[in-house]
Amino acid sequence: MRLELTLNEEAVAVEIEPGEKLPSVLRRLGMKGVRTACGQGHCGSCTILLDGRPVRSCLLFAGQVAGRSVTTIEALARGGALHPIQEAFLEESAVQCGFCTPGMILAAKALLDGNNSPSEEEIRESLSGNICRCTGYGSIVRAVKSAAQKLREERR
Amino acid sequence: MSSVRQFAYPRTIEEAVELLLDPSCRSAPIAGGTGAVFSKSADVERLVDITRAGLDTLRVDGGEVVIGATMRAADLAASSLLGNGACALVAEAASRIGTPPIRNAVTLGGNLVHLLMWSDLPAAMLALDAGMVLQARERRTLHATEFFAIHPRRLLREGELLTEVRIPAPSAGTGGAFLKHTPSSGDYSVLTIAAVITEDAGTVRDARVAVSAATNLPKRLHDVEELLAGGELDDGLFERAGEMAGRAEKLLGNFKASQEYRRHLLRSLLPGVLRQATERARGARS
Repeated sequence: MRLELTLNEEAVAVEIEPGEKLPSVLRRLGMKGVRTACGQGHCGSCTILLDGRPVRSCLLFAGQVAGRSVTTIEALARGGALHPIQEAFLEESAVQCGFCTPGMILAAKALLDGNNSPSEEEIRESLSGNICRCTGYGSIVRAVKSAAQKLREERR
Repeated sequence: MSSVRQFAYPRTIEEAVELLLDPSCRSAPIAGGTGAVFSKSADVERLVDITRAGLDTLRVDGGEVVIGATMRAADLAASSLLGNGACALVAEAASRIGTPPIRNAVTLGGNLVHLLMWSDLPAAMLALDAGMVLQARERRTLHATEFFAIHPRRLLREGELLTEVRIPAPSAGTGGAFLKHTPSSGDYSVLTIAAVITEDAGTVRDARVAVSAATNLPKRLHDVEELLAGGELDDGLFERAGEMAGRAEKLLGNFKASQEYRRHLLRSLLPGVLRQATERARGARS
């Protein structure tokens, strides 16, 4: 069947199998930042933003996003310049193997889009659906705080 | 669900029901999808996405709080319409479902119909004595106690959908409390307790207490409710309720939490839940 959606702010139409899950369709469209790990909705590495809200793409049939807006990590860097959240993750060494990073950054983006001065507790709650098995969470939380600061300065 | 050949996007409940009843194409409803993606069903040919059928609404209708079945847990958790009274229990229960991305997917109806042992909203619905509205070509309303007497999926008739939940207006002096005991914040519950108490001049006029996650089906604790009814609202009463529940209830055990541990939890935690519901009931009166 034909699936139409808005993918990273562009209208996209793609042929899919009706029983197909969303990650395989997004990866076929080149969005390799959509990582599939547990496939069970536990780990958060396949996180995307659906109409601006973080969800686990492995728990969605592709058909469910018809007509809706999907954001993947590929949408964040603009013209070769990293998004402030991506910069902050680099600066704070919040990345080791990198597998969880797209999901972490998208979860952080959803938080910071609605709240550019979150408390540590709000950051931890917002990232609680994303598992990292390398760095631990300290540097990731620091990166989100630092990104919030960058975004506040940018908007000033 | 490799058997799926089509997706349908009905715009109304009636259209959804007709698709589900269509004998030429075996259909199943889908909303949040967190249950459906794990379905082992090999004969569903069409998924009927009911998230665009106008069921994602929350409104107050003649004093009843009416929640549409495709309201997402995240929206329930954030809703101001549920207020500070007993209905706040729904927001509290919804805010404890999984993690944020799960709450952005899980719907009220899915959490109730695709009942899992650890589902969070059923106990809240039992404590609030909610009416469950089911619709195929006909419409019927079941009490939460009837709805959860067997697994809700076995109770649904051909083509029938849970379309909304109606929570009766709590009388003045009513408060609710919700507790979910988990090994870590995002883990599945090993014991969930929901309680609603109506206070009248220092005594219990009415009490409803429900547990889940430690029983096959969520259930009301009728013995405890009887003990509470008419009682003086004090710590002694709450302790007696805890003792009674811890003694009487047949709870399930598994590798995460033994039966004894869950009984101990129920005995220890129920008094606090009742105390909190009572404090809120007093707050709701003043």
